[in-house]
Amino acid sequence: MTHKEFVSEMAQRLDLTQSKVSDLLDATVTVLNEKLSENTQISVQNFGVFETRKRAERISVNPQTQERYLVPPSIVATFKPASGIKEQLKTLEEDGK
Amino acid sequence: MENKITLSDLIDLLATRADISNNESDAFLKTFFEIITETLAKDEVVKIKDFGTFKLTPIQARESVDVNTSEKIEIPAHNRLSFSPATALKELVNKPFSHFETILLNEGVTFEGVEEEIAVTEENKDIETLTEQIVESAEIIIPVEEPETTIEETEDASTEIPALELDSYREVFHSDKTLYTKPERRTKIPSVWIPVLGGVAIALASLFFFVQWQTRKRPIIIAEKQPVVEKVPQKIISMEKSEPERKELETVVLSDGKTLRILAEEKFGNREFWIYIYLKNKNKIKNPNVVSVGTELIIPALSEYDINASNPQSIAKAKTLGDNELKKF
Repeated sequence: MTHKEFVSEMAQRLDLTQSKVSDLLDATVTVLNEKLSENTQISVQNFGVFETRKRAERISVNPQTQERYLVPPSIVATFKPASGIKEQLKTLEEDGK
Repeated sequence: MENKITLSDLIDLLATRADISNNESDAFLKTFFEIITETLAKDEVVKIKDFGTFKLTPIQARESVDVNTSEKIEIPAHNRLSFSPATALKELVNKPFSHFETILLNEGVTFEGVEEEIAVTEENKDIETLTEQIVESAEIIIPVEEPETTIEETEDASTEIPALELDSYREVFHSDKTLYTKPERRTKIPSVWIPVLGGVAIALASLFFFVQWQTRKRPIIIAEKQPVVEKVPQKIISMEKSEPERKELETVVLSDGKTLRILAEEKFGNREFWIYIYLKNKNKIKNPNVVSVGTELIIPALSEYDINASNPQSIAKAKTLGDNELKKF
């Protein structure tokens, strides 16, 4: 599902215009990104937790050339799904196959 | 990671930001997460612009060992929900570290802190790590695109700092009683400045008498004093420039590939003394791990911090200081 499809789906459910939904979605993303950039943990019940983690620096080796690179530390945004949704999606797969 | 917010906080934030009622915001966000969940349940990818992509990654069934009974068990194939942040979010979150770039290491170069990791990557050369490494080396290409943002960043940082200092300086100026730890040295200047002016006036007057029988030493001192006095009424920026002149401290512009440690080794004969360069330039360095190229650093005098490379105690002291400082980052 692309961003556009997502917007139209939301517009349908909320009975709002697409442009309105698009604006609101932009605002939501801005708020989420802002909070994440402040290292704030965002937990949404029955969905999961968004948070930032620091990844330590590491040395990686290119196996072809044997060149060693020092990869700098970085802060990454992560998402941990809530256990409910995790299980739901797990079993979904089992049913499907 | 001290701060935590929940969905209800998020609802409030969105309501304020988008200027809508809390009810609307509530409905919007709930639908937002609902659609993501439902779409994922259909085994579809959900992509949200500037935020990221949610998708299910199939995990193959694999054998494992029960931790308690040490019996072989099979972990059935399942899906894992993964979220990969969009570039916009990635860059935003990683802003404090965006100065860093992946560096190609020369043979035999090792790093104190990361040594163990070298061992891991170098020794386990089975297929798993190899594939991992391929992914990693693919990642390496990414930083090449980053220099633009890095430049912006450094400019930002350099303009930010003086502005901040100026503010605190003004505050100090208006309420003389407030004492700030950092600009402490500067707060004294306004009160010192009147006697200094008087002193210089006397010195100038006495110059006429002294010049006649004194050797050339006196005029030199006066010549040195004058620029200082002229600069005092000016703003911090010029103050900072005059500071090293007055104390005759060496400044070094950090060139590419140099670190505080390398600099310390060059100037003081031991890399552990980097901490003193950092302390001396604390107002310019946000994080001692991230000193951008082109930063003008003041090299502190040996006497100021008791720097002595031939004294093991002095080195040990610098090391503990440095380690403590690094823990903050």
